[in-house]
Amino acid sequence: MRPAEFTNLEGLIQGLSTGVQGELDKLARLDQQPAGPVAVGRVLRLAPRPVFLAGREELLAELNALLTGDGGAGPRVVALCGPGGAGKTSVALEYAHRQLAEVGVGWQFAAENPTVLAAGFAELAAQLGVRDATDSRDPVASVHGMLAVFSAEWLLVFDNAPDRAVVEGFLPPAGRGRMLITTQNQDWPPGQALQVPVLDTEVAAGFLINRTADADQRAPGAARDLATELGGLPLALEQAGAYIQATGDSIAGYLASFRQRRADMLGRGEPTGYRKTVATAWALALDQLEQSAAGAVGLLRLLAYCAPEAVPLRLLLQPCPGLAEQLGDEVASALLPLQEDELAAKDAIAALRRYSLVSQPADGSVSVHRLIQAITADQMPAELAAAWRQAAAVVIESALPANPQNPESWSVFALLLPHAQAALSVDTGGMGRVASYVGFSGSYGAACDLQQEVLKARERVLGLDHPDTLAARAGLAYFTGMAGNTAGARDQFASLVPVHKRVLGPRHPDTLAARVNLAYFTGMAGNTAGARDQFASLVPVHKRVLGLEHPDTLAARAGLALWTGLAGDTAGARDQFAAVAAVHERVLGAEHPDTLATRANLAQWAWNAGDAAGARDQYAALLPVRERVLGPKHPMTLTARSNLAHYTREAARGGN
Amino acid sequence: MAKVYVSSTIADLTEERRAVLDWLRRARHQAVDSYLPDSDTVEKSCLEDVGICDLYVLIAGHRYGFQPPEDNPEGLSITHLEFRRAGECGIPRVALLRMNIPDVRLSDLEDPR
Repeated sequence: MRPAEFTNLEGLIQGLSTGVQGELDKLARLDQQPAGPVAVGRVLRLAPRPVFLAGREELLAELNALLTGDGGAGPRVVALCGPGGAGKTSVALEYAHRQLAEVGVGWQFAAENPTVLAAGFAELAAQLGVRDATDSRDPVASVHGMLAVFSAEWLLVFDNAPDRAVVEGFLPPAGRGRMLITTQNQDWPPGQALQVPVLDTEVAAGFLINRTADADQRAPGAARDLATELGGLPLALEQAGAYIQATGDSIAGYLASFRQRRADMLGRGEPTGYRKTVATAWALALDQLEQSAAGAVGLLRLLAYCAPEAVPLRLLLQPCPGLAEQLGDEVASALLPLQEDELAAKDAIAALRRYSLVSQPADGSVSVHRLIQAITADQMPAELAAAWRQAAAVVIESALPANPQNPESWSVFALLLPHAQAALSVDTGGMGRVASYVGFSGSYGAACDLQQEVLKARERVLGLDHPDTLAARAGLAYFTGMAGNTAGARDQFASLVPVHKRVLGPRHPDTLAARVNLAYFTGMAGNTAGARDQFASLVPVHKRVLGLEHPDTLAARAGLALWTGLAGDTAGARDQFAAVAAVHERVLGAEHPDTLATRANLAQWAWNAGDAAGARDQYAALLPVRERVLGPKHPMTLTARSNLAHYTREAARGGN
Repeated sequence: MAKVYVSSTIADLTEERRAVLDWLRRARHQAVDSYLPDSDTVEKSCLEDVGICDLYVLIAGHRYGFQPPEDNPEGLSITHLEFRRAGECGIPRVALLRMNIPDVRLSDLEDPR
């Protein structure tokens, strides 16, 4: 202990600075001492304790629980798994240093291969005094024998093991011991693997601020943005921190450079306690994969152009007719086998998992850290990178469902949405379908923004009069109205209808759809009589062009009925709905959603026209169908039940 | 940057604590502050915090400090327990001892905290 006396604040600080500096110097000298026993009766060789460690307390507690909890006799083993740069070794060392007071042996082995490991065991055997340099006994057996009967606890760290097979024969089978294996490989027995996750954004941002002592006003915001860009990867954060400190840059300055020159920045900076940069840490894994599992490299390159969110491989790795013609030879030879042979795809995922380059597959999806994506993309020559970007776009677009209006397709759209946004350009048909999905599934504001971009791209690429451009305009007008701007939607459709007539012809289904929307939003913007009149002129055209029983004709008739009622003629509306309901039931069946909607309207307009008994009878007939089709607790079933009760009461009173 | 645990009684060393914490922060060390002792949980968390630091700094004045009534058979104060824990963990300790005669009030004699 280093005591100092003081009588005032000046003396206090002098004692503090001398004491703190002296003790830290002593610690630094200890760290630099050659390996070997540092205390009588203890055998220690551990790399220095990590200087900068953040956000790992829970993980260390979990690790301690696994290594010390009940679980039968014999030494405990935990494999700390994660991608290069996740901070596995730092966690292992921090844990080991915290346990120093409790262990008689603390030893860290380099475990890259059996030869290096065997040499490490020979050194430990010598330190334990069970074998000398000229001894021909197996050092591994000597160490195992000693540790089995060692009186104190021992702790061994096997650092950076490529897989289980390499370390298995070296793990002592008996004794009071704990073993930590750090590895990128995910293949360990259940209960033995502990994932070392990346840091969450707040913790990572806090680390950057502490590491750099950046006091700039912009530092907290920039730290959060940089933490997000770096995906919370500890090595990347440490590298950035070291670079900022070494160059005197600010976090905001580094962030700006990173955004402009990502690949260059990932190779710069000297992280404390680690020999590699992020770029070199993963380059090695990629090189090894290229030799041993070319399919895995192909899959990783495809994933590099998806979003960092979970990638639904079960949707993307489907045979895709006509795909081969759209891909270059190199990409096709890597990608097509993955799509055509499920086993090849599984092998590729397993190979990537050996280096923790993808997450554990769940529901047919895997995800990739954003920096792994970045480095994979950055390491390809430009031409090959462009080919894989194109391949990802084609594969994702092919996986998008054809009809975004169909609610059954929405779950697929939801899975593919981030990847479509990452890989597809806005002028593709796929992005148009994505924009429609966003709108039809209820996010009208977001759909407007996306549709606006799609429209601009199509106007630029396809021209103003191209049918796809017109479809994008119609989509934008529709979602504008659904987002609440009904007058805006009306005006957009009003200017669109003449273009449709001119380009597609007056009888084209898209022209008729635009007119229906114009009529609808005219009414929604307040002009109910105008809407009624427009529907009145549309119904005969629909009948003539599409036929009497076409769903669009029936929809136009329902529209006419509705706006007739809203314009004041309630009995007329009731009669028109009755006529449409009869056709719906005959053509679509009693349980079709359109039939049910028309019948609910009929009931409502019967009530509006003063016929409480008619309304009651309609709901009495409707309720059992809704119960059967939608279930007894569906909101629309409950509404029907409530309305039936209301109109039954009103009918008993003798009208409304 | 080192993680430094600062241990002291509170009431008699307010200025000194502030000066030490400020200096550590300016020197880019991470200061871990002990808390106002008001529960057993705090006592435990203080002791756990000590164990994860690189360095322990004690500022000693004229008060002995709060003695937790439970799980404390020797009746030691939290500051004393923290000091001892640092020793057990092999964490280097720096002790700063105030030597001038403080302005002791009667209430101080009744309340050692």
